[in-house]
Amino acid sequence: MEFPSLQTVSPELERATVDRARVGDQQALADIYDWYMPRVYRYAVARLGNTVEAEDLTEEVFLRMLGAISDFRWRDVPFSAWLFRIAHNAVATHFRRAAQRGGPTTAIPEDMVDGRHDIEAAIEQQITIEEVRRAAQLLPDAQREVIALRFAVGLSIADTARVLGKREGNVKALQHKAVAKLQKMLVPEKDGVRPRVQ
Amino acid sequence: MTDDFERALADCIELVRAGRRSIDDCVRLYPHFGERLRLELLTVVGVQKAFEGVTPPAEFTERARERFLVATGQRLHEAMYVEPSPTFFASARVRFLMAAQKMGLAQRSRGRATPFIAAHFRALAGSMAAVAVFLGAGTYTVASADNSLPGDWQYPVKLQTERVRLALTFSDDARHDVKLDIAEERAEEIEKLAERGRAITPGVIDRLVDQTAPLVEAAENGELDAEEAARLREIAQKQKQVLAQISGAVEPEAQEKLTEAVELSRQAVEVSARITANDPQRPPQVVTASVELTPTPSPSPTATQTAPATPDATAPAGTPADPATPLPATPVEGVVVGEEPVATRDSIKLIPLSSGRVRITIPAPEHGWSIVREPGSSTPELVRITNDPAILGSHGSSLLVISTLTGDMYWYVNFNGRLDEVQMRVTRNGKVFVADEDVVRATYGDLAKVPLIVLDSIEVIQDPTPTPSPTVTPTADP
Repeated sequence: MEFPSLQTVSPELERATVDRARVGDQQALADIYDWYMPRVYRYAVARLGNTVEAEDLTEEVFLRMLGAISDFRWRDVPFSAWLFRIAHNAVATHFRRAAQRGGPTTAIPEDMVDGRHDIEAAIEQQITIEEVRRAAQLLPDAQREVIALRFAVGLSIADTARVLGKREGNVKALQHKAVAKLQKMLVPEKDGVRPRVQ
Repeated sequence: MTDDFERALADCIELVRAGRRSIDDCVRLYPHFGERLRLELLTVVGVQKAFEGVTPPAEFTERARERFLVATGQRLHEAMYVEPSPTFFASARVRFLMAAQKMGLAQRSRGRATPFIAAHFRALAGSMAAVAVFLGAGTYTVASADNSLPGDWQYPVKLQTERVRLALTFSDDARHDVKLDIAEERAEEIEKLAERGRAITPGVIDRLVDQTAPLVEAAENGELDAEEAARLREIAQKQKQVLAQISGAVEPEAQEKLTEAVELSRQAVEVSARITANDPQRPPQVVTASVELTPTPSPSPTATQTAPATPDATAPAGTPADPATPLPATPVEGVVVGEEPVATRDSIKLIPLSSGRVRITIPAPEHGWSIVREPGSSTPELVRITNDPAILGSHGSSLLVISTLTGDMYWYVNFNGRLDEVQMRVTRNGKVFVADEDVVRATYGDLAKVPLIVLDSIEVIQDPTPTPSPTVTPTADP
């Protein structure tokens, strides 16, 4: 079993495109949007578990990016880490406002995954996003955040650490704890019976 | 052992992700972790594949992309001096292709200064309808949203317009200006909400913090010039005042956020004051008394703030005492100074001074401060205190001028080769204002110690008692 590929563009092309976007090149901005939008959306779903709110948050992230991209500097962080730092902050704001309103975020709708049948066919373990979401809900927030950035977005340990403002060792520890818990909830032990997360 | 497993898991995830090893290869690399490692790697692969299946709905993708392109199209459109038209916003894709062809022009346009930006804003103001379309509603205007407050239905329009305004701004200087405008706007919104008795929620304060924090960071990173820093200081001072006014009126859940905002404003004042103080090109500075002094209950019924009918008549003329005036060798008429220290602050012994309606404490003679005689006056309306025999002759020289009728206090200080005036305490329209202590401290450092102590000690007696005959020589050898 192999990992799905997450890198869709070479670092050189990304750098050149981001540099053009920083000075207002619309084609470059559109390219960045096309490259990153699915990952930002995936991250939003992973963090919010709600497609409607994930859509709003995705748009919010790109509008924030548009307002801030001319301030982006390569010397600080890679572009993906910078962008997902924006997304991370937007999620934090979302949760804060939700808490102020006093209501929980709405439940995930049944039709949250387009083409879900295709995924099921492709996954050896037949783990569905619904099961992942339910299992992830049982993780502490910090572990959930690491899972989202590492496996929904595909960031490296180093970039995840940059986004979260944590040390790499800390991210590895959170990753391990989260994976161990998810494994117990999602992957069969030797008897071959896969637990079901309700 | 746990650490070893964490590292093995992290290594294997990267190896498998990069296609350099299979899961089974990894398990062979770390045989002592065996089945546990295999199960967790399978979990990771399964979770990642599950996430990979999460794709945005096609309808949303199309719609959101269109909106994003409209936003970017607006930015580029303005850069190309093309007059806005309704069709622009209705056909972002078409404009996008046009823009790509004209890219060279857009590239040459960037980085131009204020007039160029002003043109952007004029065009933006003229395209209210277009912006409304961009926002997904066509019935309200940006103009009405400009005056909206948090909680108003137009308020999101105002925030969105600000984002567009930022997006239209390319040079760093102009972007700082826009960000400063927005930070000021957030403070004014809070002030208006408070005036109207409307709720001040954590979100309202949050937006103030969100807007101010990047400016503080920019200031700390040396990205603001002295002029921008001076503006940040003014805005942060205003924020501090507004936040102090609302401290009893915010929702309970906003208290924590309020504390954060107050601290951030204090930081903003401090860092910006430091920048302006150290600017070698700066002109002589006038620090204005800006914080309204709230009268506090006094144990003595006679020690209250006084509001004379014509306070300005007693204000100093703005020029320090004549440096040629010799230090007095005889008592100063109308001024009574105690001999024994009545308090010690910051290792400075303080002695009492009374004159006219005013009671203060000043440093004991041993600290090098002395009273300057008021030449040619038998009933002094001003008390002058200095730490320099030559009066303002060198860096750090200070002259405190205090009205004995109102308690108003001005501090003149020779700082970095220039003579600054700090309005420490001023009576205006019956209200007493004092300088922002954070500004004074951040700007002048230790030099501010004595002036702030004296300021803090000022008491103004409502009904002055007859001034006793001077019995003590108030001066000291410098």
